[in-house]
Amino acid sequence: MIEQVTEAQSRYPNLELYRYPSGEYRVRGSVGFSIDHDSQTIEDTYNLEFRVLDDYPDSPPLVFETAGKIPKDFEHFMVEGNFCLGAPVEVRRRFALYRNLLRFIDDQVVPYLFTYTYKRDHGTLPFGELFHGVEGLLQYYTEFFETSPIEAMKLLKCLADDSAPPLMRCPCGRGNKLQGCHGPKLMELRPHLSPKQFETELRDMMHLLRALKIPFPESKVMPKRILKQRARQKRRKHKRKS
Amino acid sequence: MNEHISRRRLHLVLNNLAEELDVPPSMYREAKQHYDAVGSWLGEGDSVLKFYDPVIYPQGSFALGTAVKPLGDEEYDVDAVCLLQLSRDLVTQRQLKDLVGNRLKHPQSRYKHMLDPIDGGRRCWTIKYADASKFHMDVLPAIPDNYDRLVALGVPLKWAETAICLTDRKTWSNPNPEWPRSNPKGYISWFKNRMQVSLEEAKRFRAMELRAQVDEIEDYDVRTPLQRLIQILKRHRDVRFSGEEDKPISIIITTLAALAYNNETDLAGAVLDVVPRMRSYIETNGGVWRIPNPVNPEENFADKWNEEPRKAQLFLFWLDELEQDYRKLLTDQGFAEVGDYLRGAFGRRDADAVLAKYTDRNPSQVGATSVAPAVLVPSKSDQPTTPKTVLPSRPSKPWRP
Repeated sequence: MIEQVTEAQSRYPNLELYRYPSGEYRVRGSVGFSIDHDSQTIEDTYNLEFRVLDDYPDSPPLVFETAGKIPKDFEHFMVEGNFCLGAPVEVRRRFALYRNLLRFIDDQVVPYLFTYTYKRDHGTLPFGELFHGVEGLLQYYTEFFETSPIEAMKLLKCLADDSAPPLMRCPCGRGNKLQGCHGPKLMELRPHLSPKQFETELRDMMHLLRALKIPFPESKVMPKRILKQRARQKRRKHKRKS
Repeated sequence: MNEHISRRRLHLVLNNLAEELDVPPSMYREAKQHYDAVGSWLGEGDSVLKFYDPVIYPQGSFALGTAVKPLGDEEYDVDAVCLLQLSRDLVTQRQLKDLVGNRLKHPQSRYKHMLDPIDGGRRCWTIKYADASKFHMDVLPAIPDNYDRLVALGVPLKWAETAICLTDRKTWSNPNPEWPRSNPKGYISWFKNRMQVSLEEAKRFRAMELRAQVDEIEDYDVRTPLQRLIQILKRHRDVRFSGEEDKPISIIITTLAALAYNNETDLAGAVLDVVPRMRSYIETNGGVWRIPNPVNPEENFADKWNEEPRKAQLFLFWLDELEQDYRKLLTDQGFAEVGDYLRGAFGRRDADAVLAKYTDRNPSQVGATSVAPAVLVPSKSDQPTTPKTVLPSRPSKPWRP
């Protein structure tokens, strides 16, 4: 951690590493940027606190703004108040590419801060945002897999079931085998959440579609575990009847 | 949390702080070597001074054991008295000063290029040692004073007999100049007397630690809570009144703290009980401030306050502030902010060192979770930077749950 903070100081010299008596590490200080965007230069600085989790660098730090510069109605915050830098799997996916504080700041934190500065001054988000809640997750997977939402959910099922045999026909419907189609994309996401977490996301999406009365092929999307669970329940009912 | 634990906690933090502020023993040894060397140069060989039996002894914070590490790039300031056995009717102030000065400037003297300034200060000769040691010594030429008067004023003989007369360049050209009087040795004895009980206790404790005999332990090897308290107050003063001309002088802080000290055995007791009592030793009589020198009742340490009342106000205000701060640190809520307090009051460098030490030593200490964190990598700049940044080609889109 010490090396990573020292390295980050090369660009953000105000950062400081603290160790709390509980053993927790936090990095605090100001992070600024100067970004050329649409033929203008946008500059700003923010006071941040990075909470380094126990399993660092497996998980990215949680980022908080400490000076109250970003109002709550910006809304892109997690429940604890830390920045919601993107869809959870995407934040972890990107972080796993470098597992490094300086690159994390440059790749994820600064774009987030820039987004707020830009929104404050121009009213819109420079590169868009995800819908909120589960709809936003569905949007993320749709954009990531470059498929329709239903196909994205079918692919997500592979992650929830933790089963993606390379020779299986790819659920996206283009007719290729998984290994020559979405297989690599699935492998990109797979390490970053547990099957259980993917399953929770997928179930939430199914609830959403049902609530919106959008028809979808349940059997192709439903995680295997739930299918089995349902089958068991059916059998039990059957037995009781007989 | 009960009072006992909060006091213990405060004691530990303050003790770490005082250790951090303290001058290392090596510095004391170096200082002693330096003034011993000056003493031999003045009193030995072909020195004319040897007929006057010169004696060099330390005075000021080094002699009291209340010196603190200098802030920033300031130097250690060691004060020494150079006492010659002469009487006032045999020598003038100017002659006395030159006697010492000429010996220091002797062609064979190693000090001839170390005097800064070369023609001396108002009362002393300042010897500046090589930059690396960050060290200078003020040598005060002095002769014994007639102390009958002090004894008549009620000063015990053992303290009165060390009274001395100094020189003062500002007034020595006046007709019939008055010799400035002082009694640093008497003051040191008085000060040690004020903390006799805890000094002996500290030495006994140290001897046990080192498995040595008590008489092998020198006074400067140990610190009593009174010395610690004074070190803390002095550093707090330096930071709080940085650049302020009217800042309280050390002799006032030292005298009042020593008067108010009741051989408290721990630092929490010292700050919580001694500080509130300090003001009661300031005398006011018909609007005149008085803090008499305990070994010379005619000397008033607060005489400047009567010319500039602002000094008195600042000092009293500061005492109030200290009292409130330390009382706050006794509560859980206040102690949770101890890091911020220490940084504000004593400067970042020392505060962070103290906190790191505290959390290292007391990982399971009750309430330790509320202690401010240790800085592992300090910031390299107070100023935020705005480095040129190129956004990633596909930044992630913010989401919200």
